[in-house]
Amino acid sequence: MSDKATILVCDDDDRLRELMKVTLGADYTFVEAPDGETAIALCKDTVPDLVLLDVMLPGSSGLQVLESMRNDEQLREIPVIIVSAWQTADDRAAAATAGADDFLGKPFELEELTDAVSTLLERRT
Amino acid sequence: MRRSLSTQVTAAILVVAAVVALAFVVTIATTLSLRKTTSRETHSKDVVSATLEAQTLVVDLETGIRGYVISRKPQFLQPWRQARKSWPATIGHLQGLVSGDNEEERRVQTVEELVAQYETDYAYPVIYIARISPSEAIAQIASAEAKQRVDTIRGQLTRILDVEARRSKSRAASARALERDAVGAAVVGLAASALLVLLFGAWIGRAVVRPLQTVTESAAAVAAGDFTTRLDEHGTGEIGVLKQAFNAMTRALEAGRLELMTQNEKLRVSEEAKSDLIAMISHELRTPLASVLGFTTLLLQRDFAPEKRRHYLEIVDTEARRLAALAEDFLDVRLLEEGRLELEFRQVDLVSLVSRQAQLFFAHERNHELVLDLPEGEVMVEGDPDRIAQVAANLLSNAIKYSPEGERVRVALRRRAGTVRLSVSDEGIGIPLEHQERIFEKFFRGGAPAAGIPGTGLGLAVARTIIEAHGGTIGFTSEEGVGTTFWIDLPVEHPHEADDEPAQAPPAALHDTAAS
Repeated sequence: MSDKATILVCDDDDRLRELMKVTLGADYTFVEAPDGETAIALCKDTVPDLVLLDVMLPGSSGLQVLESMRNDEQLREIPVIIVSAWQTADDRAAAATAGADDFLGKPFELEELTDAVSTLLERRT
Repeated sequence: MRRSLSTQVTAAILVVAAVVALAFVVTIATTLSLRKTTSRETHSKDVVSATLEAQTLVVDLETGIRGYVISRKPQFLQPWRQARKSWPATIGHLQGLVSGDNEEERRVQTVEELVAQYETDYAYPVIYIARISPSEAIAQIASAEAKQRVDTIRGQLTRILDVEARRSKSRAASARALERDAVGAAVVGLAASALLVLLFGAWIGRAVVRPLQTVTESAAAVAAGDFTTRLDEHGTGEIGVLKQAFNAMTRALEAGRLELMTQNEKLRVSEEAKSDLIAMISHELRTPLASVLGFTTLLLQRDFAPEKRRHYLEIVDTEARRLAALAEDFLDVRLLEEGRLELEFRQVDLVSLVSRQAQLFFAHERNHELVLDLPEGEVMVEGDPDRIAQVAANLLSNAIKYSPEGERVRVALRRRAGTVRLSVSDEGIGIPLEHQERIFEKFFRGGAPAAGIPGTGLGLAVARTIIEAHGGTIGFTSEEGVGTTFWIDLPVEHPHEADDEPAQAPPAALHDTAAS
């Protein structure tokens, strides 16, 4: 396959998934999940280079997904950016505790997203 | 029925005063009577001494005669002369002392007559005879007549003395008895008064002071915040009334505090709900805002092919409308809370309205399958088309949100007698039994937040208000894990009857929560 990094975009709002995909552009390969269970399954299948994770999802919440990733030998090291509309200090602290590498509050500036993603991917290489 | 405390206290004081007064009256009366008795005794003594004086004079009379006759010397007649001189004053004095006592008066009178007779019938004749025939005179004085006359006089006087002695004796006895009685009465009266005063004090203590202490202690407890304090309501007159009033006060205080606590709790719950709502509003606004801002930024920064651009603009449009609808929802809740929801009634065709809403909702919906079951032609109702559309949209949105696995959603419209029923059925998670009662409450979202289902908890509350304002009813049937059917019944105008006819009662539903 190509040397493009793979990003898993998990959000129940398909418009926001599309926004993130279009914003990050053709430099990455995307896999999409509308809920937590799909996200976990896709993570295991594709082992993405980075995960953009919403919190309020149908079924398992984003934080639960994150925790199960951190408990998984194979997925532990994957950088995760939480993208959430819940963004009080408590919400951010909960995300950090669960093992998030970065936090973006909705609505976000497009540069914030591209910067956060490139920073984490560069740090990894 | 009890007499008041002040009446009782007054009565008790009157009794004590009466007893003390009685004791004094008895003591004074006995003292007065004692004084009278004492003065009578003095009088008796005067009578006795006057009588004795008279007796002496009588003896002197007799002694004088006898001495003169035997000695024939005139100087021996001196006692007789002296006695005769003193006699009228003495007997007069005695007469004065016994005046008013008929028996004694008579006796003194008799003595006076007897003495007068003694003088005229015996003494003067004997003195005369003695001058002529001393021996004859001696015989005369030695005769029984002389002795008898004097004895009679002395007997009368002795009788007077006896009477007075008797009287004096009985008077002294009665004076002693009276004295005893007076002391007794005074002692008994004072003792009774003292006892009564003590009893009165004890009664005041029991009936007034102790209850007041109890009330004071309880008042202190109430002041310290213990509103459960209650007094035994027994008590004399005003004390009983005071205790009842005290209990009424503590009951009122306790009820007031309970009410305050209940209100506080309600306020706290309502504050929590409001704070949750604000967080929810914030969240609900952020998601569509993220799309709107994100896509407009993209459109402003980059060039896209016309189809792409159109697609993104459509997204922006949809999300902006979602924001507008949210703003409407929040506004509706405010209007609803203030009871100012205004409706613009006109003729509405429910078939086209429902069909339009369903298409709108399922245009972007790929997970769910829409099954539309609408009648042919038109179903006209009188109502506010925007509001009815809002309710239909809410039911459709709920059906989609609460069946996350993406099942069938069935939308049906059925004419009934006098009403038309719109029902929206899903095959979703259903409503747990314990949440069914509260499902129309504002802000109530049951297990939705935990399940990650977004929403404000306002849709159904607004929907119910709108439907009821149309004279309709809203209700649902639901089974957990199987699915939910929400329905609304709206009164429909009969095609052949022009005027408004009141809507018939809707058929009974399994959970006709709207009936409340």
